[in-house]
Amino acid sequence: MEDLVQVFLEESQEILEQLEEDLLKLEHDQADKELMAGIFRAAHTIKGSAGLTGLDDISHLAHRLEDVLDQVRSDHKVMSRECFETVFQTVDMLNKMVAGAAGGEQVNPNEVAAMTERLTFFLSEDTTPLKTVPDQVQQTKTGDRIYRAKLKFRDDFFESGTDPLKLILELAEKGEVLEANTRISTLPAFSELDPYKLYLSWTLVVRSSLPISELEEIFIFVFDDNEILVEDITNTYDITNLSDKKTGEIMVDDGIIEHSDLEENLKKQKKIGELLIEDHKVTRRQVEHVVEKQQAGRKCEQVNTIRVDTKRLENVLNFIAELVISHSRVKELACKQNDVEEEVTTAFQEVDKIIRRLQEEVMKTSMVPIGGTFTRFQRMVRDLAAEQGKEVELSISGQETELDKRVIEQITDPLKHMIRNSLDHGIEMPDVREANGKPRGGKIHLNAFHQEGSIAIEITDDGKGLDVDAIYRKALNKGLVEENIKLSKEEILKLIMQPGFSTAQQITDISGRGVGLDVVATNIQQLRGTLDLETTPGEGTRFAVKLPLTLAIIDGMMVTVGEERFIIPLTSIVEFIKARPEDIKSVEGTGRVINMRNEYLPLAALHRLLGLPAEKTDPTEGIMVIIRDNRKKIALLVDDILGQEQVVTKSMKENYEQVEGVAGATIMGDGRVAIILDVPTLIKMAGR
Amino acid sequence: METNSLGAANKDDNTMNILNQQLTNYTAENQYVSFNLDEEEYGIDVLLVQEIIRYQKPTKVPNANLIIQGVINFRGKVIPLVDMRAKFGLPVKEYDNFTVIIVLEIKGKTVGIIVDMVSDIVSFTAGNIQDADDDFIRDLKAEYLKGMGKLENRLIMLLEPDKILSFEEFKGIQEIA
Repeated sequence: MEDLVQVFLEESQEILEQLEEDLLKLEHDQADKELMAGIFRAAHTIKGSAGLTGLDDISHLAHRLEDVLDQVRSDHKVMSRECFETVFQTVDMLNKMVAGAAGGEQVNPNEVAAMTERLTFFLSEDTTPLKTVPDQVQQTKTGDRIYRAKLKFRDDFFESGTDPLKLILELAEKGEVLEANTRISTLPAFSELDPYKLYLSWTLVVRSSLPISELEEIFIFVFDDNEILVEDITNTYDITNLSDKKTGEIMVDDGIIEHSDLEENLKKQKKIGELLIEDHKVTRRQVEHVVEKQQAGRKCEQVNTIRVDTKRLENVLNFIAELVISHSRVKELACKQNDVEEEVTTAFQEVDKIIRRLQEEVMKTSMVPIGGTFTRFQRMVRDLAAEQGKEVELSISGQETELDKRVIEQITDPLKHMIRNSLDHGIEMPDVREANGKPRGGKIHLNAFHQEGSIAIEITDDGKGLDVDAIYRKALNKGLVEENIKLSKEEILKLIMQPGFSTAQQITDISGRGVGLDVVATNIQQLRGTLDLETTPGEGTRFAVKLPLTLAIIDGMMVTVGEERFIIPLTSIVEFIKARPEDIKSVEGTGRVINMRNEYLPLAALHRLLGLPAEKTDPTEGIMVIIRDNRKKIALLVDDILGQEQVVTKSMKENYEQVEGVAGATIMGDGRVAIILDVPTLIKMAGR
Repeated sequence: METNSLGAANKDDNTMNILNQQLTNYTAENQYVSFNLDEEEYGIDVLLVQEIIRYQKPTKVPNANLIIQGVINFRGKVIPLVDMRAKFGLPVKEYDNFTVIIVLEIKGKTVGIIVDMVSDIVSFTAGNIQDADDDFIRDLKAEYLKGMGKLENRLIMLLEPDKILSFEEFKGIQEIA
């Protein structure tokens, strides 16, 4: 039973995520029946499996959601804005309830009851909010309705003495005819034409301010024997939506042809392969071969997956690392003898290679595509844009780019903040945009791709861009820069990532809560990534984040202090220098500084910061490593540099505790532990 | 002298190997791995013991208290080493060939304790264990004990494992300093 609940909790999180994603798509294209069906199925699945696992609250709410969706689906209704809002909130609540069942904060049952009540509202017959006109449809503003009249008279209609044309003209008087279509596919060949019979049928779309009954009245005498249908299509009539539809579908909608016509002709339509064969451009065998390949490809796309506890994967990785160490020990022992056969050494190389492959493969298992995180932002952008009265579209590419699950977890918040920033400060109000000759709707684009062994994530908006001069002035005001120092555009832009800098004019719910881009920059640096930004006034801003593929491996420089070896992440190192005595100056109160090409940097000795004995305590004897975080650079004295190394990171916290100045540890080739330093905290420690 | 210390190391390795062998078979309660610190004999619940390994020089941890000797690699994990002499305030002794590390798993954390030497695995009947009470409290280290085990003429102090893992007291010392 416990297992069942566990499976349900994991599954439902995924289902709800997908559900939300589909709902967002549905909001843009309500005609997509497949999407609707998927959404309905998702609600149904959650209802069913929650019921099975005894989570009745979740099951009930999902059931009600399913009812609403079912009504929309089977009655082809259009969901109103309020209805979408309620459905979204229901999904939120289901998410919370699932989290509650997984041991998180419990959801107040009263809230659940209230949500159920709100959903029920959309089910009752006399309120028809499902039919409420979406506000983007222009016609409603004038109070006009749009009607479609489908007129299919009996073929002996002429015998009744009524002229169908008269009826149509009468209908045309009631309003403005937007469309008039005649179905002619039923016309027989001229030789078979019976002049006393009516072969044609018509569909008219009329815009009118009159109620539907007035239009129906025209046909009052012919309703009974003929197929007459007058309907209000104000909600669904949108000529701009036609671009997505197939020609045949539009023809059916317009009454030019009927479904049966369409199907009949589609059957006659030949596949491209058949046509090519007919023209002798290819042989039948060639076509069959291609079709086979196509089917094989489709099969491959179904990937089988299993869930594995990440702890287990870590264990496997640990053992592989141990294997590497043991292997090198065995190799050393075996190759110590003078007359080692060549076969032995090649065999060892072979094993080496296999272990490395194994290591890489296991590493890959903890990589996941970033797409899931990206789509989660859709919802946020939608809600925030609505709140601020902006029109913003978030587009996504590169969602298949894979990176370490832990990196994804930790980059989500910084990304969220940058998107919020773009939406809040970048994208202008629709009217402002229009006045500047831009489309009313703003665009934010999220992109991810591989770049030189790391992952690049870009957030681009087409908003107003950043005002470089204003940033500079503000930085001056806040004392973040000194007046006599000339800064390049790039350097000025970097200023907004400094603590205490925020360009927001008003404090909103979204940004201006004290956390700014400086926090984002710091978080990214903790992941050993970098943040850059580019801006063009009036055209937009682009944030470019660069992250390591995985947190498990880092490129570092190995240095020594006394008997110990330390790893400094390469991304934090600016350069190494050998200090001359004349470069070092004492400054009252702040200790020593070092003059590096006329730039004075604070000087700190690593052994002092860490409380360890060192061989070289005189700055001119050791080596100065210039390290930096996003705000500061300092010179760090170490005994010696051993060289660059790619190391696998291990947690110190797992078995011990967080140590200041330490990011983690690694196990070196000889099996000994080396400490990986955390540059931002080291810089902080040096400041004390 | 040379042969002597080598002999000691070999003997110690043998004890270690035999004990490790036994460890894999022990599952019962009230069984303790006994070890020596200074003149006293201590016991730690056999179920907590992962492995007994030979002393190896650890990597120093920055700004750590003396009780934490450093960290070592144990089966691919980075684990801290606690010097039990330092923890109990016993006189400092140079590590020698008998010095071993008992690797324990307590509350999901793996930690190594450095002790003078291991002797054997002992079992007690419930009647032979006397709970830690006020009589012990006079002693500073009594707070780390959960009881006393009596075995013939041996008196073995049984450790309360959770207390071994608490590093709080070092923090206190650090703050004062």
